[in-house]
Amino acid sequence: MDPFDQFLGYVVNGVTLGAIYALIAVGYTMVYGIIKLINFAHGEVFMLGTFFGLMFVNKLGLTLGIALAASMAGCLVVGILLDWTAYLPLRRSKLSSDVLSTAGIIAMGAVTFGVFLMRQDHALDTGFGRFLTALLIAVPAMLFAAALLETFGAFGPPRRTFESDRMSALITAIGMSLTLQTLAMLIWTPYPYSFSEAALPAFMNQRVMGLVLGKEICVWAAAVVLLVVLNLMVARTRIGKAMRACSQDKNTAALMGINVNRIILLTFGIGSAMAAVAGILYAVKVGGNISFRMGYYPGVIAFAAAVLGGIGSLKGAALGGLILGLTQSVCSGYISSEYDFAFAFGAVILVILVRPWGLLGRPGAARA
Amino acid sequence: MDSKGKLEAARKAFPALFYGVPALFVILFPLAAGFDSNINNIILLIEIYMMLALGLNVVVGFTGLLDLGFVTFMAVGAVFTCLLLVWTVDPATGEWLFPMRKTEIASGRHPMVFEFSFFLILLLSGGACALLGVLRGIPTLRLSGDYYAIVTLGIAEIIFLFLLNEDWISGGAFGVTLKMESMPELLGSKMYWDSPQFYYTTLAVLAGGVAVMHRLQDSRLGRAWAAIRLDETAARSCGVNVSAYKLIAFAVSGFAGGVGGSFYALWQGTVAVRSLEVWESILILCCIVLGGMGSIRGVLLGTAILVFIGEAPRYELVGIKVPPEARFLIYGILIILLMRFRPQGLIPLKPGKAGVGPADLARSRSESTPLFEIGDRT
Amino acid sequence: MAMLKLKSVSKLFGGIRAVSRVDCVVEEGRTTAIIGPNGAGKTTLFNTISGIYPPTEGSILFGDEEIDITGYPAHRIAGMGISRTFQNIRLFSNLTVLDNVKIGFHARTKAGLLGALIPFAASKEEREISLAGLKCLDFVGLGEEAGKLAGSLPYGRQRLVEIARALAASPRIVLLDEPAAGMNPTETARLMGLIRKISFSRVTVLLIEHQMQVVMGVSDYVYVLDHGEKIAEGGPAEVSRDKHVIEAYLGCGGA
Repeated sequence: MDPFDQFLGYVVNGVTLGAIYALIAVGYTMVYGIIKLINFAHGEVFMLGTFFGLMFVNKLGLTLGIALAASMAGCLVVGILLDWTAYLPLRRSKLSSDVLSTAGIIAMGAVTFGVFLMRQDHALDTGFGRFLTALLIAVPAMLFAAALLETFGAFGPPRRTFESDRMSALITAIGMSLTLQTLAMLIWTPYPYSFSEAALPAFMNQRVMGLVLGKEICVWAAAVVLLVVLNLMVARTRIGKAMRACSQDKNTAALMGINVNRIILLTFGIGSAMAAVAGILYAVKVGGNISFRMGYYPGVIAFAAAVLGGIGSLKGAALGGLILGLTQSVCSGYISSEYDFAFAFGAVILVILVRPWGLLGRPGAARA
Repeated sequence: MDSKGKLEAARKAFPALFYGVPALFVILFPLAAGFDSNINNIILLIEIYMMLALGLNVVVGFTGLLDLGFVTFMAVGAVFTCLLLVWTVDPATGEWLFPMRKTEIASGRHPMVFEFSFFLILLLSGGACALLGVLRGIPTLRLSGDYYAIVTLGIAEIIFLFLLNEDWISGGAFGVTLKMESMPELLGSKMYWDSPQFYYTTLAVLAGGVAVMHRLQDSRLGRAWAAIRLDETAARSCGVNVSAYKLIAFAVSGFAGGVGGSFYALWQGTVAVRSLEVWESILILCCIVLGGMGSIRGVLLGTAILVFIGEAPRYELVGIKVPPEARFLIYGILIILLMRFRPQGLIPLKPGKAGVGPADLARSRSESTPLFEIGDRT
Repeated sequence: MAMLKLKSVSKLFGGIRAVSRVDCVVEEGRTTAIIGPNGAGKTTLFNTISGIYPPTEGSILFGDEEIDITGYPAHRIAGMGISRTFQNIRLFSNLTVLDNVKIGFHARTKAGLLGALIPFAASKEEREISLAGLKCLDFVGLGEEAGKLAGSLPYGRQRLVEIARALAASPRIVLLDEPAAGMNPTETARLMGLIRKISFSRVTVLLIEHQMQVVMGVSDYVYVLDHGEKIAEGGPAEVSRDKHVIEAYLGCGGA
């Protein structure tokens, strides 16, 4: 292969990776912009989104497009649940929601463990097994629903506070990441999956102009469309305006009549939906390799992309993702493929040390 | 008499009981049950993780910087120990050889060149990691909070990938196996995990470590770290050289990590870098968080609980084969609940030595000290 | 004899001149006050002196020897004998009052890693530190509170703890940033007594203060800042009659 084509191949690969990183980074940057939290569990949401897509395609036989939409919806809920179970109680202490969400978390663990145990002796197929499974899923689902209602004020007015200790929140995020990873491992086993070939539309594996694969064009298109829509949403709509207000000053925003905790919840939801898209695109591009650990590296690198672009800025996240994707692809192509993530990590460290406010940020705006 | 007096007495007896009872159990238990029981094995692992957790606690608990890459020290310490133990010289050519390349040398036909004593190995491995800690610390001096956490995580990942891919150092994916003949000797026996020598050395080193940590915490150094943790600017204007004291913390932390890694290598008998990935740091962090950041007793208790929870299911306690990684589910949920209901940990850090009474005050008025002459000038 | 000399010190944040070409001399033993309306750059001036950040222009000279301490790191300046308190109290609120003061002795003690590792190596020094810490607290009148959590004390006493911590370094000059803020009249009166006592113990005092009765009561010399510039200086009585000062405080009304 002639060197120029080779280089072009790396660039195409890098841009595709970058588009995926950008989609994940959006979730990090939006959440960090508002509550100053590195949501470590965001990588796991990305992983869950992929698994949802996989289930929709392989088990239910949906087409990729519909599975993508369904998976987005699924992750939207996961994101909201994530904030509600893990972070909201740190920001706003209220006994009933604490008790409910604690019961929810424990029940969630119990369900997974129950499913795992029953799969061990194929008890799931018996009538009693089905009943038990239904019960195990129904109980936490009801708890979740109840506490969600609580969040939206169905059980009386909440005490309004919006700040949590940042160290506690960060450690909680790490705990959530650990929990979700293990849940996924128990449910889907530690072995890697991939999309069945039949599920991918034929054009995805065709080359355009002898160089770019159809699926890469799909990734680019999806990323561009979603990022533009998101940008418009934040810039133009009322909710976007509320988000920007919250990222400036949550207390003032609350005095202006914005329901800050609901905006934060929504932010988690939107970011998670983006991560679901990124997850499925990643699996399509990489060609499978869907496992419970898949969220970790892309997650950390996407966070780095958010920092690189200037944390809190959507355009920065897109730019940062692109740069890191290109760095990783080109460096691993020319220097050493075993160190592919190391180059991205190196870039991150360099950015944090030299320009912690990011490429599009301003000094002093977002120092951790 | 009053219940207050009793309470005070109980509070004073607490440290003695806290250390005395478990220490007695740990010393006596193997004499009854033998040195190769499963429980013995778990005790050793708990002790090793206690060393590691105490090391991480210096940076996270004392100095207040969230280090997510502590496992680097454990991995480097373990790999370095292996290197010291199995590196040999080809007697014919005088060339340095690493047995992973030359299997016939690994079979033990050639004499070992390094007849390091066990304690020298500990010192070297600790020293190497202390140096690594300082080197890693220099660029991160300006950082705090989330950014420090991310940079330590990134550096740990890079070093992990390096160790994983450079199999001339680490034996690659399969790791280095320490054969019986390359184990160090102490008092006439090889330091294998089921030898009394190894068992009691581990305990003694841990006990020494705990004592040092208590002394550090109550010393001028410990106060300077506390000042940095609580308010860096105020610490500066109290004359604390923040950068220097952070570097000391990194070095101490790295040293403990290296020593822990050495013990880990000997305990395991095999060092496979793949099993020392960055998530392992999170486990050690969990121990600290559970016990109470900065509180030495808390860290020890948290480590004992978590490592026990993690290890117990590996043995035939439950009839079902649960993948060992499932313990992370318990860890994860535990951290989330802990942060919500008891963020200060099981045994929270005490704000300082209590018991300054009127007697001390009166004594301070009567004695003079060169440290504070201002009061005497009036 | 000058304890501290500021020569045309300026501090710029971005394009904003927080402090602009300020000259000022603090004579040894002469309690000097810096006053001025909010945002006049007083605290910025303190921060440049104590090394929190370096001045953009100008130089700061310390002592008779006129050591140029411009741009020295904060811990070094503290070690040379310039201590300070903060306007927004910066105590280590999770530590006891005594531990707070003990940290103040940091610059004057030596024990390092070895002191902590070797048994009994630093125990004499530790004993001295505890002793001196109590004496220091006694000096500001907080001897009884040594074992309490610093954060649990009322506002006014926290200010006193900060002063004790600053004095623990046995400074030659102490910078007090609004020590009377948040104090009730009784506490303020006691504070004035304390400031005189400090000055009497041969520690030069430089203070920022808003309460005029404190300034008038304790200071020997006053500098007035407005918009980062020095607009007047002199004895307290003289300054309070200065028409620029009245103008700055009351708005454009004067002249």
